Amino acid sequence: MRGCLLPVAAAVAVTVAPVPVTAQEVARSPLELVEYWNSVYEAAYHTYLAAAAEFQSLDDNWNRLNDEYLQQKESNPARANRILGEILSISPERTSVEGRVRTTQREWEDVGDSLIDALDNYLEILNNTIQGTPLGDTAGGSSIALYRTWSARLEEIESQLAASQSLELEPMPEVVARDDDNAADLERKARLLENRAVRDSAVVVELEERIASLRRRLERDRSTEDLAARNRRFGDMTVPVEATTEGAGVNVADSAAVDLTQTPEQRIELMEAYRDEMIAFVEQLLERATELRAEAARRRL
Amino acid sequence: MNRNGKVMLGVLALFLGTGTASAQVRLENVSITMGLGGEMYGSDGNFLAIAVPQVDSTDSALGASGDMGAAGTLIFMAGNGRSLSTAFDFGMRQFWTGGFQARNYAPRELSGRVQANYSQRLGGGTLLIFPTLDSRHIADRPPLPLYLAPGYNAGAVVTNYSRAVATDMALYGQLTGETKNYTADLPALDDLDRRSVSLEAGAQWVFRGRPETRDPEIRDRSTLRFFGAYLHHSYPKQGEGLVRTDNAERIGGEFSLDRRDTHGFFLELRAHGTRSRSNSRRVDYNAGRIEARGSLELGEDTQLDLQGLWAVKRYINQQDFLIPGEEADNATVVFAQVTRFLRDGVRAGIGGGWRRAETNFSGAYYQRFSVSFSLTVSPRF
Repeated sequence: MRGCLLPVAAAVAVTVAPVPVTAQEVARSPLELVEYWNSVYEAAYHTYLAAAAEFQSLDDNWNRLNDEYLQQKESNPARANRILGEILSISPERTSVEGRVRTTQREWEDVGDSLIDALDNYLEILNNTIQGTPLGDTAGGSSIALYRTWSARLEEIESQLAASQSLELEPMPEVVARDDDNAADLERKARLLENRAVRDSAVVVELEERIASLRRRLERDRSTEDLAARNRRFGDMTVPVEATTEGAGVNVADSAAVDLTQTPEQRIELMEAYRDEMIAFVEQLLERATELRAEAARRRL
Repeated sequence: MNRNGKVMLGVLALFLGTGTASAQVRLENVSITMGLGGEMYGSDGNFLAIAVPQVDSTDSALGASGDMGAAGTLIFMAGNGRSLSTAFDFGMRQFWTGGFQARNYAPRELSGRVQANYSQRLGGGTLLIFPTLDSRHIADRPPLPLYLAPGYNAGAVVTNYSRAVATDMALYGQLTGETKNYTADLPALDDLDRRSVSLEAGAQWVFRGRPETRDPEIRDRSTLRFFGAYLHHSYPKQGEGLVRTDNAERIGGEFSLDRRDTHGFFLELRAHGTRSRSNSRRVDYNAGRIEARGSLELGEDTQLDLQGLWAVKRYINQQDFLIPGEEADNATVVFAQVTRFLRDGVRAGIGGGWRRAETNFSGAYYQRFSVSFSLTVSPRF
């Protein structure tokens, strides 16, 4: 089913309506539009980073106090009570900053989407210009330089945004056939669902790529570990020179590198589950769009 | 079940009993490996082998081996700033040999290792505790030139606490306690039974990739670590009345360069120097060791993995004999393997290795060349 899903979605893509033009985009050239969204994006990104850093600092302090409270609870109840007071006093601020992190993150991601749209449009124009310019033309050279600069920026933005993507499905759009809808209304509603299916299909493709990349990485890591494990298993790396400690080899000095929540396999499983949900979701969207089109055809008769 | 086994289960039960995080036990990273190999052994002079039961006058011999191994990790909990897992590794290797003067030997090695890993965020840092049980058994142990390490039972507990003190810089301290008992019907091997304690402290720096690799999915980074350690070993079966104790200081460093996601390679170099002094003047020494590990992608489905070490030791006083198993002067080990990824979770490897250990005072050495083919399956559960 997944195999035929993407061609269907691609075919539907032909009918996608252009993105609505916002007030800020009126009377701006494509480059000006990119520069405008780029500056808005930078500001939003730094606002989010600042909020995240502030929360991190509060959260570290909050965790430290909690640890201290647990340590003192039995041995020094008076001190524990004072620490509890401190915990309670910073808790509201922590909650407030946590909310601000969520808000600024959402704003940053929204602005990021707008910047990506503007960049896509501008890069397409540049690409057409480059292809239509004779070889050696200086204008063509400057277009190539611009293309390189902004495509690098596009990659950077996509990387930054990919890191923040949460694996949650957006709710299904509430689109139903009303009694007073005419055929054109129903066609429009069907197109709305199909557009959404196209967008979500692109996410499925991206997920497939990320899952494949994570699997490849896991296999390669295991291959490196295979050799080390086989040598360790049979004592082949043990040399009769110095007394070796069997517990040796445990040297973790990078606190940030210790992930206490997810293993690579868990991460892959989570992404696979999300991909499967997304595929089912796209199938439902297309099914409902088909029903609306059938109803539109019936009402046209 | 021996005492070590009960202690391990007790430690696991203790950690599990305090867990409020996810109670679902997961089995991950399972690898089952089967291998076949051919080997060639050689020696020159007489590497005094008082810890090996037989003596054979040949200077070279041939061998073939077949091995099986299984490894994996049980994850008991992960989340809420804590995690508990246990890694296991079991293996069996059977040799067939030819070329010995007295008779041809068929040594069989059995090994097992279980290592628990408890991690917890604590006081702005991370506390790690690794209890390990390690056991090795060898039947029909051959004489030189085929040197196979003697069997033993060992238990160790490593406690490590690390804390970031600046962006991408962390300090750590590590305490290790270990007991190791050699298992063979030879008094000379009992002499090697050991109790060890070590205390290590160090600093590590992490250097992330360039701005275009800020994507957390990309692991490009380098690390640099420096450490100093104090080690105390006691040998309860050595010395009459006064037990032999060695005290050592060690300094070293480690550098790793991880460019797997952008350039397809990984390199890790580790080096340390040790100054060891004992109440038995025979075994006072200074030593150095360099280890290297790396991998290089050779196209979409192939990878080259390398592992090696070079170790050197200089005794302060004149030596008349050494005990293989703990005592040689120099050693070199190099292993390389090319792995082909056949399909998801199935890989085949072909590789080779060279090991050599020698003594300075007599010029004697033994060495071993090997080639092997292995097939590894990593099933998903």
